[in-house]
Parts: sequence; C-alpha cells; structure tokens
Amino acid sequence: MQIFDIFIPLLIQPLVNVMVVMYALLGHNFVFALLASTILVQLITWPLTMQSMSSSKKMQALQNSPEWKDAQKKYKNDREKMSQVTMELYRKHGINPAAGCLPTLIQFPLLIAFYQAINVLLAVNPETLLDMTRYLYHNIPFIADIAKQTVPLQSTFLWLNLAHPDPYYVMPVLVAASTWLSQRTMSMPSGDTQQAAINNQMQLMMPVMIGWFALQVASGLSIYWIISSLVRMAIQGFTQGWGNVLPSGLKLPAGIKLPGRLSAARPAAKKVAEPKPSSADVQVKPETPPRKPDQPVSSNNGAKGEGKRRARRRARR
Amino acid sequence: MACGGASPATGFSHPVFAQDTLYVGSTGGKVYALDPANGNKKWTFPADNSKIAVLYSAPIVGDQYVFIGSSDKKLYVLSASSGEKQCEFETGDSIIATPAYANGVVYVGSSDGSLYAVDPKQKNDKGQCARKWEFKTQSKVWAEPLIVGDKIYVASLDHHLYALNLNRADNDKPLWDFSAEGAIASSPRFADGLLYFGSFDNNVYAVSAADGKKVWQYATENWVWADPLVVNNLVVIGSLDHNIYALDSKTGQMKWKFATGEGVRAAVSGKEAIVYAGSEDRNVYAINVSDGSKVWEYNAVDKVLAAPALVDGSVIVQTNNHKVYALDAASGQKKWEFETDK
Repeated sequence: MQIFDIFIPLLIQPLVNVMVVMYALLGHNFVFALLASTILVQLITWPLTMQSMSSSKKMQALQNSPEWKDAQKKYKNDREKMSQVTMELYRKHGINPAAGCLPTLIQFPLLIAFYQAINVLLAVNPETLLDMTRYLYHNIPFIADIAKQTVPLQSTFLWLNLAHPDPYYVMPVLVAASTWLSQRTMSMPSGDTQQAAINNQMQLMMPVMIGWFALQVASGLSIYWIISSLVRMAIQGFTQGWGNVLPSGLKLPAGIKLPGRLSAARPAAKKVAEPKPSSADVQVKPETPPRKPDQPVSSNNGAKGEGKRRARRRARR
Repeated sequence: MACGGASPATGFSHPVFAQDTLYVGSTGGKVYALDPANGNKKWTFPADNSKIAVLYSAPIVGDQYVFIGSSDKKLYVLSASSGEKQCEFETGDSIIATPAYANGVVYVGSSDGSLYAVDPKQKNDKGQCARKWEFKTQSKVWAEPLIVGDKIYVASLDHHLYALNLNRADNDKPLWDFSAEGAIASSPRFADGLLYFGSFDNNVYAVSAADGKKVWQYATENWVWADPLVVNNLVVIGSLDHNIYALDSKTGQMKWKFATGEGVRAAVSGKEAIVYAGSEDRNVYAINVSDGSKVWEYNAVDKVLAAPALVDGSVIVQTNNHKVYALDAASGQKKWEFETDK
C-alpha cells in the first residue's frame, strides 16, 4: 500500500460519490455538480481556514509590534538568541508559526482529491470507467441506483471536453487570474519587509505555476480551481466582510450593500485590512506609542474610530 | 485500483483466430499476426517501430481483410495475408468497439455515438474507405454490433439496444429499441430467437430479437460489462461483482456462479464442456459448464481484461503486461508466450 492510497477512502471515494449524487440532482450537469461539491468542501474546511487566518493576523500584529522590532534589532547578529526570543514571543502571544501555512496545506490534498475524482468521474479511458466501480458505494442503495443510471457522466460543457485540457487556453488564464485574486484577498500583509517580499513573489509565482498546470490537465479540474477560488473569496466576504475581498480601488456604488458582515464599500473596509498593530485583534500588548492627536486614523476615511470599533467587535467575537 | 485518478490506458483487445492465423491487437498499440502453433510472428502493423494507438477493439477477419478500430478514432482495414493497410475510416472519437463484418460491409461503433457501415472496397474522394450509412445514438458505442440475418443489433452507453436493418439509409428509424436502466457496453449474443447482454444497471437481459420485448432479467451485484457466451442452454457471463454466472437461457434462473478474486470484464470463451475466463485478479480459469467447478487456473501475472481465444486445444490470452500466452486447454500448462512491443 502506497502512502497516497490513504487518500482513496478518506477523500477521493467520498468525493466521487458526492459528485455522482450532485450530478444526478443537478440536471446531469458536471459543472453544477463540481460547483456544489466545491462549496460543500469549502464549507467543511472553513473552520480550519478561519483558524489559520486568525493565527496569521496575530503573527502580523506581532511582527508590527515594537517588542518584535526591538528583538530583531537587538539580536540581529546572534541568530541563536534571535530564534530563542522569537519562539518566546510566539509562546507568549499564543501563536503557532506553522498555522499560517494551513490554508495552502489544506488546499493541496483537496486539489489532488478533486483531480483524482474528476479523472475517475469523467472516465478519460475505459480502464478508468472500470475503476470507477471500485470507488462507488455499492452498499448504499441510493448511491448505487443513482450511479448505474447516470454513468457515464456527460463530459461536455460549452466548448470544453472536461476530460481534456482547454484547446483555446481560456481556462489556464482564468485559473491564473482567480488564483492571483484569491491570494491577494486571503493573504495578510507582513510587517517584516523580507517576508513581505517573499509573499509578493509567491503571489506572482503561484498563479503562473497553477496556470501552467492547468495547460496540461483536464479542463474539469481548471473549473474546480476557479470555482474554489471564487467560493473561498465569497465565504470570506460573508464571514469577514467584503472589504478584503473586493480589489483595491473598486468602490461599490453608493447605496449598494453586499450581504454578510462589514458590507461597507471599500474605503471603510480598507482600514481593517491595513497591517495596523491593533491590540483588539490580537493579544499582543499595546506597546505602540500613543497616536498623536493630529495623526489620522486612515488616509482616506474621515470616520475616526471606525477601525477601532470594528477591531473591538472582532475581538469580542 | 491505482492511487486514484485515471488508470493508464492499456487497451483490452482480445485475440482472434481465423484463417490459420492468430490476430492480436497488442496492449502496446500494434496488430500482430502470429502462428498459433508456436507464437512466431508473421507480420505486424505498422511494420516499422511505430504504433497505432491504444487498442480496445479486437481484430476481426472477413474475406481477405483484417478490420480493427483504434483509440486514434480510425478503423483500419488491413490485408489479412500481409498486414498492409488497404484503407482507413476516421470517426469522430476513439473506437473502443470491435467491428462486425458481413456481405462485404464492415460495421463499427465509435465513441462519437454512431454506428457506421463502411465499404472497405470503395474509397471516397479523401482516399478513405467509403461510408454507407451512419446511425446516431445518444452516447458512446462501445459494444460490438451483432449481425443476425438482415438485421444488425447495436448497444450504446445511452442505455439502449437498437435493432436496425442492414440495408438502411441514414435517417431510417430503428426497427425497435430496448431501454435498460444503465449503459450497455456488453455486446449482444443471439441464440434461439433471443438476444443476451449485460448492462451497467447490474442486470443480464434476454430480449426477443423479433421485437425487443424483455423475456427475463437477472440481477448481479455490480456492473455487467462482459459479453455473454451461450453454451449448452446456459448464458455464461462475468460481472464486475467478481463472479461468473451461468443462467438458464430460457428462464434466467441461475444454475451456478463461480467466484474470482476481482471483477470480470472479459467475455467467457468456450464451446461445450469447459469454458475459459480471465479476471482482473490476474488469473485465467477453466470452468466446468455442467456445475461451475474449477478445472484449472493459471496465474497470468497481470490483469486479464480481454476474452481468451480457443485454437486447436490451446487457450490464447493477452494480459495487461504485454504478453500473449498459449495455455493447454486441458491442463492449463503454458505452451508458449509471446511478448508484444510496449
């Protein structure tokens, strides 16, 4: 048994069966089935994503704190001591330094599982269709009945044969664009200039890599990736507010409110996204010097105290 | 099962014995003509080191031709004596189905959803074999069509079995069609006025060849992809539920079942007392028709997805590891093996 075989009963098999049911329920349309399954999976994994985002925020706040900066300055020539102090600070503020990687770590097994499930369901060759019988839950009559009536699944959508790469390269471009957008909205700005540079680089590299990957694989998988990026952003919008989700510079017309928390248009929401050492956001001691009376809260919003109030609300949550 | 995802395409073309020659569409994508006595090669197509594509269709022989469909969407018409290509016919998608041949016309189903009637002696202005007619179904046609008299029966993954006149025009409606609950990839077989076939709805069906009315059905526990064999008033057929079933051809009542270790996709072969079957469990089995008891088994090292061929006391099987084995029909002892190009 190979190590990856663990994915079969844990992820791939359930996904295959869920998607077969969705396909039957949603008018025998594979893309609709993919959409419904993606939303379901993103909702299931959302608590983990939230946890890691919270951890990222704490980390970001810590990195912006004078405590951190002082330590960096003080021990810049003593790596060992620096790492000791860093770990101490992490412990003190209850930060798990690995937690920030969670969203990515979650997405990759899911990507692999969806990749395998899509290949199985679209049956690119007769051998794969033959294999599909091993993935189906034959002992659940409801699923077995649905499967025998729906297999083989229709693999055409618009101009695409979902089992093959997009011949017109539209999907790879959309995959790269949605990855870039999703990363921009999900990532936390870092106070550490080196880290910020790495983040920026990653934000460019990842879309290119994923886009290149989309050139080679079934367009059904590209559709999954686009949907999952959009769904993640939508869930973030509903739970965290649309301020972070909407691209900077995009202002909603006056009077339009999006559903979900913090549905305010971009200017007000921007403050939340700014890497401010907000004490309410994290449990880092407010060691920042008091703001001078003439210092503006936000460069583009006159609503003084709005950011603080919002931060307090989130701290209470 | 592979570690999820798409299994590699290896094909499952079964060997065919005709005109003193064994024809094999290899898992490596070539057509071989072998001497059935010793496995010596007579010719290959393509003759050089190239290959066609993955082959699921078996090479059938009619008049002086060998016909074989390929996953490169083409039906190839070869000289049976030399392997030289006579003409080809391109369809809209891969050809998985084995063709059928009668009265100078070859009939082949394609994954583009159509059954084509092709005249191998006529060429169109593109230099391809000429199309006589086309019958469109709603899904892929993966089953070998069956010709009985002036009728042709073709199954489709659209859940239907259609009866057509051999001499028809493009737009002629089918004589009748039978609807199963699942896709049909099993090729129908005919005996005593009935057509027998399996379906992905787990059932084995017997329908009247005259009007398509169902006579009986028998439910297995998984998809039935294999073609049936009708022998001694029994319908012997494998299921992906790992079993080979022997059903009374008149009533559908089960007489015996034989358990293998994995799914049985390949058709069972045989004539009278003993039938031979390959399984995904990598074994070839010889089974007594009378009671379903095992006569012998041979471990073929890799999955056996293609039906065995019977040649003068030998059982010829092709496995997924690019090997063709000739086994003694009585004992299961290996007589020779031939390794095809990978």
